[in-house]
Amino acid sequence: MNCQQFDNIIVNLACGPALATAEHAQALAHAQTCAPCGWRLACQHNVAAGLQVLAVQEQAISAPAHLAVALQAAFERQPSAAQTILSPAPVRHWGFAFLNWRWAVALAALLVVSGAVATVLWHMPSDELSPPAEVLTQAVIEPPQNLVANHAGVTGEKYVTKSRAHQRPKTTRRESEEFGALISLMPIAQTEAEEVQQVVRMQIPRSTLRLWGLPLNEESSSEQVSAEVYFSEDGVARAIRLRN
Amino acid sequence: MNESLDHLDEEELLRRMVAGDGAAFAQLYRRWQSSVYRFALRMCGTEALAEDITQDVFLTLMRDAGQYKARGKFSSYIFTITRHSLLRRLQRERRFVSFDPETDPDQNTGSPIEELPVDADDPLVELARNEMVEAVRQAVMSLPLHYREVVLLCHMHELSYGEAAEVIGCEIGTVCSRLYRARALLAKRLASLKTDPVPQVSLNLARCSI
Repeated sequence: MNCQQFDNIIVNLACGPALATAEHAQALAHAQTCAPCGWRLACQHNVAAGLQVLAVQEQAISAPAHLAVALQAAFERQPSAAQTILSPAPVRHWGFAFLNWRWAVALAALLVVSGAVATVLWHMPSDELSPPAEVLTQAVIEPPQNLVANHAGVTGEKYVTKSRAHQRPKTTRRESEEFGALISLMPIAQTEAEEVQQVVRMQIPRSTLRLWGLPLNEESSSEQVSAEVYFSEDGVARAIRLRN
Repeated sequence: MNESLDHLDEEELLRRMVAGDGAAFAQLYRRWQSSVYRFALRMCGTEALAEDITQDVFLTLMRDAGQYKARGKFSSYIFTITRHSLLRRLQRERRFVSFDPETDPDQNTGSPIEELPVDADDPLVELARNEMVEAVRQAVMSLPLHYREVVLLCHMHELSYGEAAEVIGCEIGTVCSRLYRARALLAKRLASLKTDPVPQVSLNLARCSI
């Protein structure tokens, strides 16, 4: 046995589990021939013996006596777990549960909130209950079929739905300057602002203007012109505004 | 009545405790108070703290006795509670100690563990009439905490390596390794107290005998 092997078993040799007889004999033989290993084994024996004596002496140490009294009193004071388990569960009366002040407060708060919401809804105009105008202005609809059918060259850019004339799309000052005056395509008596439902901004051939009785320059008849066409609910063009 | 409880094991005593039997609690306390108090005392070094920890342990036992599952030995269970209570107390008292097992105590001469006060009124001082016992006690108290706890558990309280590992919450190999290093340190410190010249040997501390 060399020092490395002896070092591996020195603790067990000193105080650990019993070694095999042959290994034990080899270790003792090595300790007798090797002075450092013999010294280490002697130290480990001292440690083992010292710890054993210390353990025996320390068994006399106890916790202070007053601690036992205090803990026993604490045990007597605490409710028994068995009593807790064996005692019948309290019967719950739901009728009385609502008399609890917490329930009452919650119920009152619910009534107040419901009343406030109902009042606000009652006084709110019906048109405010409809979806916001911004949503409507973004709604893309199909172009009027009659217009598309009659003027195949018309290319619509944007179709804006309006429920009322005063809710026309907001145009910036620059946009309003770009477009000219509103030209009625029908007799004034038949044109009611309330009837206008759709405003379509589109590119139309200038030749189309002739169909509506508008002046046309023959030289530029093949060109496209930007226009805002106002359609009524039945899809008939009511007015037009040409881009300058 | 106490005589009739002597033969009962801890599980039965706990069952009676849950049922509200004060005598069962008293019996359990008598049986384990010394071990708990000694372990706490040797770990923290002060009687007052050891007393508080002992009280914590038995109050925990009162509260959680119903949750005890007899999977392992009761000694592992109660020493685990003691150790947890001890660590909580040490943190609360702002007396942090290094639990880093990588710390080499040989290179760390200013270890805070060594600065832990040992009560002058320690009962062991009166009991330690033998000079060697006192030297061993001082050597044990000077060990780093993670070495000291394995020495206390395995040598003072006779827990097996497996039970000590369960208490500490580590592998058995870790317990073996720490115990080996702790014993080597104890041997070195006890040898340094002797007048005999100590041969210059280098111990291989990184080995586990099991």
